[in-house]
Order: sequence, then C-alpha cells, then structure tokens
Amino acid sequence: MRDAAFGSGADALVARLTLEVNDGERIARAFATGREADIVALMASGSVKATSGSVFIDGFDPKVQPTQCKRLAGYVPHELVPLEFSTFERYIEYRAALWNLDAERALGHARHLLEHLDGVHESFAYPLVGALLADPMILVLDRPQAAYASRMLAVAGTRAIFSTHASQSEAAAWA
Amino acid sequence: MGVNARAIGAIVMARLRAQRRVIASCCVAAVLVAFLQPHRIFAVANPLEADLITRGVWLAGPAFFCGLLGIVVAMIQRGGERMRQLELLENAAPIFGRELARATAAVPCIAATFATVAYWIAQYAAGFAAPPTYFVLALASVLAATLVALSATLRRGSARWLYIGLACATSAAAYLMAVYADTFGPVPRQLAHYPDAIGVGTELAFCAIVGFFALRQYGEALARYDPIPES
Repeated sequence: MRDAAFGSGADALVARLTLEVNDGERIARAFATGREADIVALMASGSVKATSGSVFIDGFDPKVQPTQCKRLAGYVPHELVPLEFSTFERYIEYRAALWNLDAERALGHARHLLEHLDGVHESFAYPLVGALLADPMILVLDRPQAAYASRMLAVAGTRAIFSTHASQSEAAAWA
Repeated sequence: MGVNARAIGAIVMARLRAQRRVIASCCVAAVLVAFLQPHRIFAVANPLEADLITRGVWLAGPAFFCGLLGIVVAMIQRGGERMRQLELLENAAPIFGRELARATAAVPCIAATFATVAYWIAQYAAGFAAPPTYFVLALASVLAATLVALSATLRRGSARWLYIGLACATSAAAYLMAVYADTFGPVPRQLAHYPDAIGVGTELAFCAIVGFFALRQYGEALARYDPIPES
C-alpha cells in the first residue's frame, strides 16, 4: 500500500497509509476505530478499492485485476462464521465452490488444519481454515482474537501476514 | 459444471438457505392476499373475450403485490448482520462482479417467482379463473421490478430511493402496457383472433428489456461496489 486512503476530505474513513508486507513477514497495525481497521483489512485483501493512492498484491492491482488479487490474499473477517453453515463440512464445501477447489481434497486439508487449532473457538477457527484452503500468499486478519494468536500463527505458517487491531496491546500479540 | 456455475450455485444455495423464512413468509402473504383480494368478477371461459376491467383486475393483484414482495426481498439482499457475513465471503472470493450479480439476483427472483406461483394457485383455489397468460404477464412484471430494485441495495440516500421508485414505476408501466396497449389502435388483421396480443407482447418485451438492462447495470455497479461497514 502506498498512500492508500479510503474516502476523501471530511468523509475520509481511512487516512493515507503506506506499508509493505514482504514474504514471510508479519505486520500488525492498530487503528483508532473498528471501522477503519475493517476497511484497511478489506483494502489489503483486494475486496475494497482505495479511493486514492495505490494497493498492489504481488504486482496485481485490485482495481484492474481483482480476481487475481483475491486468489493471492486470504481474508479472515472480524465477523463470525455465517449461521447458514450448520456444519464445518458445509462451510468448507461452500468455500471450495467459491474458490474452485476440489471439495474432497479441500475437506481433507481443512480437517488437517482444524486439528492444529484445537482449543480455538470454532467461530475463529473456521474462518481461518477457510482462508487457508486456497493456500494464499498473504493472510489478512481483521481484528483477530489476541488469545489465540500463537495457535493461529502456527497454523498460518511462514506466509506473509497482515493484521488490523483495535489497540496497540492486541497488535503486539500478533507482531 | 463450469467453474463459475459452481460458485454461482453455491452462492444461490447459501442465500436461499439464509432467507428461507423470508421466502416462506412471502408465499404465505401471497396466498392470503390472493384469497382476500376482492375480485368481484366471474370466471370467463375465454380470456380473449375479457373486457378491460376484468383484465385489469386479473393482473393488478399479482403484479403489484408480488412486485412489492420482490422489491422487499431484493432490498434485504444486502445489509443486516447475517447478509453482511455472506457478503464478505462472496466479495473475498475470486469471482467477477457480473457473476456475483447473477448469483445474488437469482435469489430475489426465485423468491418472487415462488410468491407469484403461490398467488396464482390461491387464485385458482378461490375460484377466480385468471388465465395462464396473466400469470406470465404478472411474473414478467414482478421479475423486472425485482431486478431494478437490486441496484438500490448498492446505493445510499436519495439514489437508493430513486431506484426503489424506478422499480415501482416499472411495475406500473408493465401493468398499463398489458392492460391498455390494445386500446390505442386497431388490432392488425393477422392478430384478429388474438385481440390482447399487442398488450401481451408489449408488456413482455418491455419487461425483458428493462430486466436485461437492470441486471447489466447491477453487475457493473457490483463490480465497483466496496463492501465497507455501515458504521
């Protein structure tokens, strides 16, 4: 991200932000409001386009190549798993369909990942597993739970991780 | 099944599951209104012989009420905690805006179709002989209004109300065409045996054109849409 902002003038929701996340690097940033953290995470994953400045994910511009960006970035929302997915299998099948992954293999991979998240509440474990299914280059976490930091980081592996937080102390747990 | 068809199918099924109670409520409401609607006309053996008032009554109930249901279901496709969660997942997925538009448009269209079918069945059960042609006319009007209303979900403030107004206007225009288009001039000799052919044809063509452009516009708006939180 280089001078990336969302909104303009008095309506600016995210002030100019410059940061770079390299391979294997972990960057955790605290933001003044939950909404700001939400928008920055969405910009970093290519779901929201910056109003000014630029965002590139491995050289791809979300404004021009949104699908390529979304293949490279695994986004873990702050919101919990939708209630429609009554079982883990149903949630994984849904994600596999959206990312065009083989359902059986995705389910096997997901169960393997879930085993390593023993003790993490399913509301936080499922979205992380879902985001890791497509083996993203960068993992973007929107205000993750600090209590689960060590286990979630272990499962995420050595890939680049960018996380947004509501406070400096939470950010410190993920840095 | 292709890549995108699989994703579209998954999105449609997830949203239908999320809104199953809303869809069921729409069908129940449609059945109730169809039974309660003051028809005050007798069954007509040949629908082509129906006069203007009869045709107007046949179409008014299902077109306007089910159109309203379609607009309401379209409006709840975005917003609310539950739909927000699905929206974030869909927006994070590597699929194009037009594919996402088709998937999210299919859900209110399916709900509106169910409601219109329920309305029509209830009309028959009540002994009100609306011919199948009028079901098709009502359905076309309902789907066009629903597709126009979808664009309102991506806008805020006055622009949102403008699209809701356009959806209502679509419903009204389709109704006027279906009922009154035949009265504007003599029926061509080739259509002498089908006196309402002009009304039917005009309404269906209008709804197809409006629906096509509404879906296209929705897809383009969705591709530019940023799913930022409301507050």
